[in-house]
Amino acid sequence: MSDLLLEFYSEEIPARMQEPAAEHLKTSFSSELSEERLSFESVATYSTPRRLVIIIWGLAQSSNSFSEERRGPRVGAPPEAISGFANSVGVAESELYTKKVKKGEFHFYDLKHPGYSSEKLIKKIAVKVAHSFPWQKSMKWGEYSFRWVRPLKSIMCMLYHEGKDPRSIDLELNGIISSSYTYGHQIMSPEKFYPLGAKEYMKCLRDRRVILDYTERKNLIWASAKRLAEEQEAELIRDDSLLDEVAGLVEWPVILMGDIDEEFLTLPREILQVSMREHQKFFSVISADTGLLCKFVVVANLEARDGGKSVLEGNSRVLRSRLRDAKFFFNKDLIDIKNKKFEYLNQRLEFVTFHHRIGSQAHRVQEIRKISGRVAKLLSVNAKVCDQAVNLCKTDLTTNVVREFPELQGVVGRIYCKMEGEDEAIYNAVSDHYKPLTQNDQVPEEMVSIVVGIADRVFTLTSFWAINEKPSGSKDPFALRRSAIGLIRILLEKRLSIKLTDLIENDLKPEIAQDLCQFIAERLRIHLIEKGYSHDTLQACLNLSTFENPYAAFVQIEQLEKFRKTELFHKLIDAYRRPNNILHSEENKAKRKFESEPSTELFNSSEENNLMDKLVAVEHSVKASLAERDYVGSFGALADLNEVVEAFFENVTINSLTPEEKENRLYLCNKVRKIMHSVANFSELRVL
Amino acid sequence: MPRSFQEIILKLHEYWSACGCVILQPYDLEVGAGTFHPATTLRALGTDHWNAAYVQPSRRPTDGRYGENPNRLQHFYQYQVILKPSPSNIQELYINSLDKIGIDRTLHDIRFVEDDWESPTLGAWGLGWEVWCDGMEVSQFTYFQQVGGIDCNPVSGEITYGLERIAMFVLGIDSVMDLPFNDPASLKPLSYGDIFRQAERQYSRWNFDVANPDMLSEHFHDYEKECKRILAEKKMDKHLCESIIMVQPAYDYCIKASHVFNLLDARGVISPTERQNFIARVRDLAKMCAEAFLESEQGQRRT
Repeated sequence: MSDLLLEFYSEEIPARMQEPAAEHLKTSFSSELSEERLSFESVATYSTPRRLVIIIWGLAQSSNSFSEERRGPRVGAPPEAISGFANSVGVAESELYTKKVKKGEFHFYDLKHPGYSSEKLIKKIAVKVAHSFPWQKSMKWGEYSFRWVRPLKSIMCMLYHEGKDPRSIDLELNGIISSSYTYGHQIMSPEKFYPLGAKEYMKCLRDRRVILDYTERKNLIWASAKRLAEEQEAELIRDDSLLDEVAGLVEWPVILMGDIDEEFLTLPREILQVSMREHQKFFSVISADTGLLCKFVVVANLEARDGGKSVLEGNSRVLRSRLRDAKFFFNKDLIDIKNKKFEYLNQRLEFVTFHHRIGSQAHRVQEIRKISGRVAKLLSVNAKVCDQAVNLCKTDLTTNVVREFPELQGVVGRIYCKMEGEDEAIYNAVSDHYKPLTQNDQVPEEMVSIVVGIADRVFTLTSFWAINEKPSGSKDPFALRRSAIGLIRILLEKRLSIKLTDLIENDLKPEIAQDLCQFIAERLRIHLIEKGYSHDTLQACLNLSTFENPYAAFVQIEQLEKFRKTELFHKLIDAYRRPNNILHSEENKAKRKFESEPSTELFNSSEENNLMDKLVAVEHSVKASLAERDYVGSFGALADLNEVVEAFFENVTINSLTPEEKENRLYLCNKVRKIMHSVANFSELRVL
Repeated sequence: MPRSFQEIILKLHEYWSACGCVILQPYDLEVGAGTFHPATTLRALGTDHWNAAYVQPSRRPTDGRYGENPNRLQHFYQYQVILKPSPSNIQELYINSLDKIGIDRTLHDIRFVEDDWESPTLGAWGLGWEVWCDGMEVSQFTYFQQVGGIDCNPVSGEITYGLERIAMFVLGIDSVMDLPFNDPASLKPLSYGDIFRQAERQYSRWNFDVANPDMLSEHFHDYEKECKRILAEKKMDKHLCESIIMVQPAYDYCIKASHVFNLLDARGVISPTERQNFIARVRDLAKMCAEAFLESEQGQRRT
């Protein structure tokens, strides 16, 4: 047994790509290992801004050998066939043996697949994985033809075997050759070193100012920053996505805290926080006494000679100049608002283009108002309040602060609306209708924000669809996928049962509306797959009529996913399969369907009558359950069919000699399937 | 430690010269960035090895603030280094250059933060970073992947220093106009503002309110036509009876068209639709020049 260490050491990998890359390295490498029958105890991957590392503990010396029983021609087959078979497995005819199986007596040979040395296999796997690495964007550099996310500086691939010298595995990626050394921290420990074991590698890195583990860096940053703030009787504001990003920008986090100049303390907290976070990647710290945002925390990648004094000074200076800009623009806005009302700024929206083929921002607001009226009605929310919220939701696009700091859209509108004494529901909607902004962001809480959020997205999607500007491949310049996902998440997470057709009603030509619905349905499917719902459950539940109402489809999916794990599910599937299989083959033979209502007069067994009675009852209760969206109830009702269906198949022969009878029984089977399909398409489901 | 803006430039020249770069002078046309210099745009194409450094005065008319914003100018200086093929120690070379101008790596937090570069008007893009020094963006670092729509092979590494920013950082100055241009201890010390404030005011006014849009539009058309006409000429020169493909004169007109477009943009007379259209037209010129360069003697030569 040995340990494998493979390190790709490169120039800075974008922070957001590091962890997904480590995850891919782990899954692709492990699946290649099992493909090659090379066993191992465990595998771990790590990422830093400059490295991507996989360590495989307890790797076997060679892959498992195995033999495969190959069946040749029947005994008594022409001699050419037999010698041909012997040739194909590479042995003399005399080495074949014969064996009797169900279908008769055949020639056989046990083909032996030898084991290959781990070194050879690792070399093959590492090269394959590196060449097919799915970076979102990759590049070339210098005169190399190999592509990676940023230039690779070295590759280290080592096999460590206790009591033996480390073995370096030679890899070559279009001219880039592996070595048995790596480097420490770029600035604090740039010298080469030769790790003598996988564990030792991690320790050596730590001595050389590199923390290999991303989660460890994250925890360390959070804990030290929190402690620093607490020592000053202040509170650090939690910001998980910033923490995620910052942990991907440093190999050796050094946490420093600085003061925000007093002259900026009067700026609204949101403006301070956003400009610090977006531009400087600073955490915000609030004073326990005053409740004001008074300090910032910066995470450096250096233990500086002067204890971080220069680093802090530099950062403070950059912050100061940024905040000075923000303050300048904020004061300019205040003058505008003082002279006229905030709402008055809407006049300027005429002159701000939303999209040249769609119209101005003023046009956008008018259209969103129309849609929000409709949505408010559907959700029984006060339409007047929603209308006023929409009226103010894009006003801040004309403010000086937003023009300078576009990422403050919504936040600034909220501040100004609040200052003017608008209702809480309105100023919350002005900022929250943009939510969710990212995957980790929450959907809006309040109903007015929800209505505006839905209306805004419906407008965006329908207007871009109307001018045929749709996302294609990796191109989605207007972030329409994000709009659709936002819409879906609001509907699902807020449990809003609305039909898509009611949302996009009369704005689009039918075929364009249909296409947009398809697009949203596809986002819904992808969203749910990412959430971990199984593929076939989605397949079974999503069809043209169900995805019309995303929330209803989701409820069904959720309940079916749960139901699949119960005993009753197997009964239901049994009741489905037999009639479905027979229908399938008969439909294929006859090239037609058997969709008429069965005639009770043609029944001549109690089982037929029983099945029919039960079907009528089940049809009724399924309908009632579906009306209530009680899918579990409808699945249960369907499972109830199991006994009568079984009795029917045990005692009644479908293939009656009287054609009318046979036909009638197929109608009966069809009725079973029809009722089942009214709930979900069970033919899509695998039995777990 | 450098004491003035000009000393920083001299130190960078000295450093990159010692690294084997040719130290060029600025290109003598109005450009928006150091990348437009033919020493970068054209030389990034073809297979020749090429290492050069130069200061490029750059103009971005829309960024004018009448000399009143501490960080923004419509005319500024970039220090541009182009290394082709990009050497494997390019980051180290860069960090060493910071040492030379007084940014000590053991005192300052230098970070390479993802930032991919794209120039729609040049049909060029690359991957790289913006370089942060204690939270301040001081340089742009790019590995060119395409220029004029053509794949770069070998790949060039481009380093662009924002000279005013870096000088403000090194000299500890908060407003660009206060930067000492020459040595503050010299007989007649001058600040950046002493030299450029008036020009910033004048150009800001002209860019935003006074430039003649009709004349500029006409110039754009003329430049576009001239660029295409030059490239459409027969290759054979009638005096030398040899092939001379006139890439650089044509490219000059591409640069001129690009600058006129920037002026029209600042003047606020271009609608968003037209804007895309203008950009596409300049890009077409850049692409034609790039293709012509590869056909020319210079583009064909192998090192």
